[in-house]
Amino acid sequence: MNTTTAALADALEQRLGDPFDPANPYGFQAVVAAAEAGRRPDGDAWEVPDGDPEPVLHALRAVHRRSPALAALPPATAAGAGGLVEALAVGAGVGALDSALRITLRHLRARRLYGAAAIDLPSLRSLLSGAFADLLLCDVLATLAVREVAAGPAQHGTPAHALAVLGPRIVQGALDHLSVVMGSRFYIRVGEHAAFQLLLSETQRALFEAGRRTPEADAAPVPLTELLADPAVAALCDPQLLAAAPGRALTGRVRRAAQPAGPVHEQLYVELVDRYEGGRSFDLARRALPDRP
Amino acid sequence: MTAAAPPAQSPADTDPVARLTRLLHELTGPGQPFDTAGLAALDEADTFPADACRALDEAGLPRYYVPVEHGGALDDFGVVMRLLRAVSRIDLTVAAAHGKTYLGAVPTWIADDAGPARRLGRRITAAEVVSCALTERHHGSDLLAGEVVARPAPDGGWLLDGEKWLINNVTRAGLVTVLARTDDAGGPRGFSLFLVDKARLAPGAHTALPKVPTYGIRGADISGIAFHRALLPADALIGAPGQGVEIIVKALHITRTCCAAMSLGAGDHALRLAADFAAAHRPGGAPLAPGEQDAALARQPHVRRELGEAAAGLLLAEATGLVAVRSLHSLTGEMSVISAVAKAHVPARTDAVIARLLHLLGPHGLLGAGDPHALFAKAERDHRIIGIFDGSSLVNRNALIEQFVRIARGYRKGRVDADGLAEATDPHTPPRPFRPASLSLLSTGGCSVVAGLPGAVAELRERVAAEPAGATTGTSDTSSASGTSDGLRSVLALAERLLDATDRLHEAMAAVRFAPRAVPAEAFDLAERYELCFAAASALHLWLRGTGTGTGSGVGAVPDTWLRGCLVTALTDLGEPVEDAEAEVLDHLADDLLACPPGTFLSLLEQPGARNGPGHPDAPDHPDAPDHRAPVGSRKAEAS
Repeated sequence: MNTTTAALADALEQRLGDPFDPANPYGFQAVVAAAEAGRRPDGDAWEVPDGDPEPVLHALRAVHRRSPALAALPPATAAGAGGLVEALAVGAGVGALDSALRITLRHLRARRLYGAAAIDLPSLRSLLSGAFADLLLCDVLATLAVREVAAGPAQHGTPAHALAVLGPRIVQGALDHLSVVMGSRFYIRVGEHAAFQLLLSETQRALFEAGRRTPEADAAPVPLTELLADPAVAALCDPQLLAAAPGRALTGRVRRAAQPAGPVHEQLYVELVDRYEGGRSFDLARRALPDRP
Repeated sequence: MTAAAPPAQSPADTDPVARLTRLLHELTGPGQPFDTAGLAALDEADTFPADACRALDEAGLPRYYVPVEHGGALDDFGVVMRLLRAVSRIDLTVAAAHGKTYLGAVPTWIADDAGPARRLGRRITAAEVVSCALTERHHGSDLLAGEVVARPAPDGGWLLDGEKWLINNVTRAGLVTVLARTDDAGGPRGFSLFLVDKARLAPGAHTALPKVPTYGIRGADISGIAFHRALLPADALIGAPGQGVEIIVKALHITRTCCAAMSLGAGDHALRLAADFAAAHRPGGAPLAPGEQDAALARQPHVRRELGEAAAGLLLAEATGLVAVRSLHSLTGEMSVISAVAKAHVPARTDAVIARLLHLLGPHGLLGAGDPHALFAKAERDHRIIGIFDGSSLVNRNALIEQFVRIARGYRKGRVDADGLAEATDPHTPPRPFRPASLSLLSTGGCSVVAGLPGAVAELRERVAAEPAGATTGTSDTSSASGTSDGLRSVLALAERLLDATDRLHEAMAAVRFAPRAVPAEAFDLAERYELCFAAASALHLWLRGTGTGTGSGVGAVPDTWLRGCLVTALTDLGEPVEDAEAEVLDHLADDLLACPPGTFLSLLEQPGARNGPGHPDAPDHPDAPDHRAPVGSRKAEAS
């Protein structure tokens, strides 16, 4: 990702500031308070400028990281064809997943369970690394889609098609897994983790509200395995990491995806923590974020 | 599941579930306590559904929370399950709020001290609210980390100090079961249970903490309580000092099956909303005009398949919950396994069903104008709480994993409590009395439901072998009754694959080794698979008991559509191969679902229409009702 592609998103992130800062008028606390009061947070800070699809995608993610409800999709003309608007809509959900993952990691790092740090429980680590892999998988599809790169068997559609069919469910599934890890903290609308439930419900609405594409009508399952074997995918992300994404099981009638060995999950986890501590986004762009661990 | 011979009396006169369902229907009119719009408005305003809870009190529901030996009407946990499921089908907030008394009182029944139990029974039948305060702000499900302490008071009794938080009904309750540390060293013997009567506390001895706004069940009283050296009388102690954790763990064996009941009701509700929506709207969300049924969303093949899969998923969950709750009576010593399976599987399954329905129908308007009172969105929010309280799926899977070695050994050795299993899987026989003393922290023998799977499959093989040669229905549909070869062979083929997967799973479970607090992540996948095997085995046992072979109490031939749907779903979720032709049974289940009148449900226990109860125009025995008496899966084979 070059600096031009990131410029819009970086400018938005700087304007919106650290989401975990309770004094930030654009932080999670303010966003949740506004949602509870049934109003929109003030200001033009949330506006996503018009432009080329890929920079707009990352700018949308910057807003979705705070609140998907605040990010209006750009007009179709700004992004080219209508299919690209769909790719932007689904790809923006990666921003909400980034924040949800960050909140979950933050929560586990501060919590002790059964006499040890919660973050050291292998099952919880595995759920985190799985959600991270889901995020990367969605971003690979979204990036290829907005770049209009052909990949996979041509007769079965494009990455944009795969994103439209699978992306919403992958993002939502990852959020659901994280909600299990959050436990009761996910379920409450006050406190430092209250943004989680807002991100989950707003993402759900954004991805599945009336008028969204209904890809289930497409008869053929997405040939995800073939698509992920394409060199265009490997150029973006290590396919081994993508193999750890639980969302892969959503491609057809099979509901269970074979998981790679522990070292892959450990690699994902180490990368996740590295980005968290370094204030970098979890997507392929690794953008610098104003978030503080 | 079976169509029983007509009773001499109307079921509504004798069956508490029929009575309650009829009453609930009567109370759903405008301005009534269970009015849909009214309950939705209360939810929107985070307001407690007091009128609905009061109506349940007046209906006598609390009596079913108290064992008969302590003055109540509870002699069959299956009845409580169905009662709470009926309430959950209308509003989960009401069910969770009212049912909390049942959960809160269980430790006293477990302790089995007649005096306190009788006194508590009297209070509950007089509509006293009971809560159960286990969790604390910083420890969640980690009960051994609890910081609330109880110390012996100088003049007798106990001094209770500390804060319990995120507790359902604790502000409204008059009585609260509290887990407190009674030994500074903590540990499994370092905690005790107390039944705190707020009315007997000195002024200022406790403070109600503010209501916590929640994602779902928004009207519920989810709050906390702080004790300030509150003096409790000596008789507040439940059981003996140091027995608190043991009693609570055993109590969870009961309450976790109750959670399954609420989950099933919420799942019924969500599926009904989705099916009604799909039947009444075009693709894209426009309402159908009369006579346009062929253009319904539900007629689209992928929608029909998903609805069928959802129906099969909930039937699989029902089979799990039903066998689990009956096991409380007849496989009591195995509840450490069975309750964990039920609590892990049923809410997770229901969450997954709701999510898939949302993905399928949300873009067509299920989250918007197609659902005027936003009931589906509410059901989605509300139900997520069931997976959280009384131990999450992670906590329950952890409990299962700790018993893997025993479970695998029991399976390998074929340890089956045959009488207990037969009783647990025949819902038409009255259960034996529940004996709390038989509850055990660990199941020494493993799990009869799954260990009984090889026997069940062997029985199927015998039935197939006994079929006369060439006795086939000649239909590809195979939505047939069990007496036909095609249906039976299809069931057997699926069951053989299930057995093979179950065999392999137990070998993998037996090989799991881990150090304390270092359960490998892969073991959780095995636990999830075990739940699926349990669920499918439950379905098979239930079906076998209801087929009228002379060994069960069922009458007549029972359709196998529902069973094949359950087996197909379980095998699919296990990652086992399922042929396209076998998966078509899901479409037939969708047809069964869509054939139910609005407001009614597919269930293994009830005829379609049972929710509305006898006498209601939609009920099966009403003269104006359409002919929809067929049990689940009895749709006639289409003429070829």
